Amino acid sequence: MATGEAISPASTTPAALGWGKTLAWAVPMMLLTALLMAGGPNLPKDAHRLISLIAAWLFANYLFLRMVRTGKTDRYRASYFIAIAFGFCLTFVPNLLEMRGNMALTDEDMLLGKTPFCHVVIPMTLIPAALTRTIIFPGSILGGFAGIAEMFALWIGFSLILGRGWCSWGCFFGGLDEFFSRLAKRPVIRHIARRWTYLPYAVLALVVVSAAWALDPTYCMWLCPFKTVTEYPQVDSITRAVQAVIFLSLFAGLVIILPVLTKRRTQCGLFCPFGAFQSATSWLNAVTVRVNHGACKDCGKCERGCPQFALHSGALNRGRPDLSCSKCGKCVDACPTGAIHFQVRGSGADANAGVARMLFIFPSFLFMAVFGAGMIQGGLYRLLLLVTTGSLLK
Amino acid sequence: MLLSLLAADAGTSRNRFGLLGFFLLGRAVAYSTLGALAWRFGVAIQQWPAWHSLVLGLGLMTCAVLLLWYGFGPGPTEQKREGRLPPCVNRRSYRNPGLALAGGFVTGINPCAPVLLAFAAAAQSRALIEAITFFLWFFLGTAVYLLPLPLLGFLGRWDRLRLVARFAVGLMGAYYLYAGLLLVIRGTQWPLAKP
Repeated sequence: MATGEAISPASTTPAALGWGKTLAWAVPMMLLTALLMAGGPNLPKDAHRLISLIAAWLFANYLFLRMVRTGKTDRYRASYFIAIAFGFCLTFVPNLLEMRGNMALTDEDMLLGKTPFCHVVIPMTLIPAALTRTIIFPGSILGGFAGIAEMFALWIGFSLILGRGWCSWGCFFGGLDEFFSRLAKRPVIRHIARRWTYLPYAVLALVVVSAAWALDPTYCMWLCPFKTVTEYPQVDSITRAVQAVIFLSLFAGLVIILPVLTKRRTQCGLFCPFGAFQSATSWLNAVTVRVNHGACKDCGKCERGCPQFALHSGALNRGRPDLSCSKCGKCVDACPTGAIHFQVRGSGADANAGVARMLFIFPSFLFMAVFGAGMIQGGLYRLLLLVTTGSLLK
Repeated sequence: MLLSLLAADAGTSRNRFGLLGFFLLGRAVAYSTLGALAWRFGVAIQQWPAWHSLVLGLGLMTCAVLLLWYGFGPGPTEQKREGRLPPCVNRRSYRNPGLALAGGFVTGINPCAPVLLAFAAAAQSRALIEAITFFLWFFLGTAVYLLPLPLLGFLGRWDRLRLVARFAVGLMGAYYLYAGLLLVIRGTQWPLAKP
């Protein structure tokens, strides 16, 4: 589209910007992502890696440009978010296969601290770390593949900016159930009792207490559905076999089947303990989602569309979604009257929602683009290897 | 968990500590009984480890089913709304000292792993009084952990917190079901079972 071209009626929203303002936001994003994705002036010498880097950069900036231009947040966020999840799996598993020869984690690997650390373990490590000054995870604190200190630093930074928004803008697992939740045209299961939205808090309480009691990351050992697509303890006993069955069942049920049937992110909204934990950090963020009840026509589009079960009549009357809101922007995009909007904390309801939206999506997208770039690049690199050499492995 | 439930429904702090007293009394009676039984049966029970596992496993599985029903079944609020709340789970009935006493006795006599260990140790006692004294010390040692629980009763005021707690109980039930199943398998000497 040329500069100054009229925005099509279908994409016209109060948040849509003209080309001048769009470029004013998009050009800094292009420069920052170029700088941060490349990691310095030296570009990769390997052609496959260079092509992956350029493709990831173009992909991110095309999506951001469209996000700013059309005023729609969710569909462009989701495209990158889903790409991160698939890129992560495509990078992680071949890496393991190259390093260890298989996806199974042996006791020896755990003793040597070779287990990559993921953010979901964070709530389980806090109490034992405070009480015993040890990290109850068989990973490396500094360095290595996905070190503990690195993940903590990222989590603190991301939580300050986004809070629960991590679940829609940062989590490299979340894109999987987001993908499956978008496959069906209409939900088969329309109603899920609200009481189930409290289940993640129970899972959180249980894994935090049991981890502190057993000094073991119990969620990783027993309940993580994503072991199915990452790594799992080697099956050498009945206990390990039961664990493997639990991982597979939870992955099939919560990440594939229920998201398809409900068109919601059931793993994130009904089970994930990290999401429940992350809800507490939403209080720290400058930008939040608010509902102008006076402008609401009770059409129910937001409530039906919310993937995290954060909107219902009570929340709409209250003027804000539940704590489980991950600021994906789907409700903001769906609302025909603009009653749901991003809002800077402390500003009045009459404040410019478009500015608040940009203040939110710019840092959020930048963080997501840079954080996920390695995974998308890695995934593209593996696909290029597959096309050119016939194997995902080097 | 039972004590948490009693504490959440007991009303005032005075009531909660009163119920704790009855609960502990029931527990002390249960432990004294176990001491006497341990002395009577001596080391006989140690001769059948498979029977051990089977009984313990079935006990855990029964407990698990109850916890699952309590955690994921319709709660008192839903049942009250639907008008099908049985009288025995009326909130007020939780405040009954007799229920606390019985609860203390039943949970005290429950053959959990530490109790079985203590039972095996007490079974080596030479005299009845020695076995009972051993169990009363065991009671004192474990009672310390129960004392702060009445102070947490105020958390029951929040419905959402009660719901989360119920789900957590249900999830624990799922774990007990698994643990019980493994013990039963071990008890029946299933060849694949590993220690």
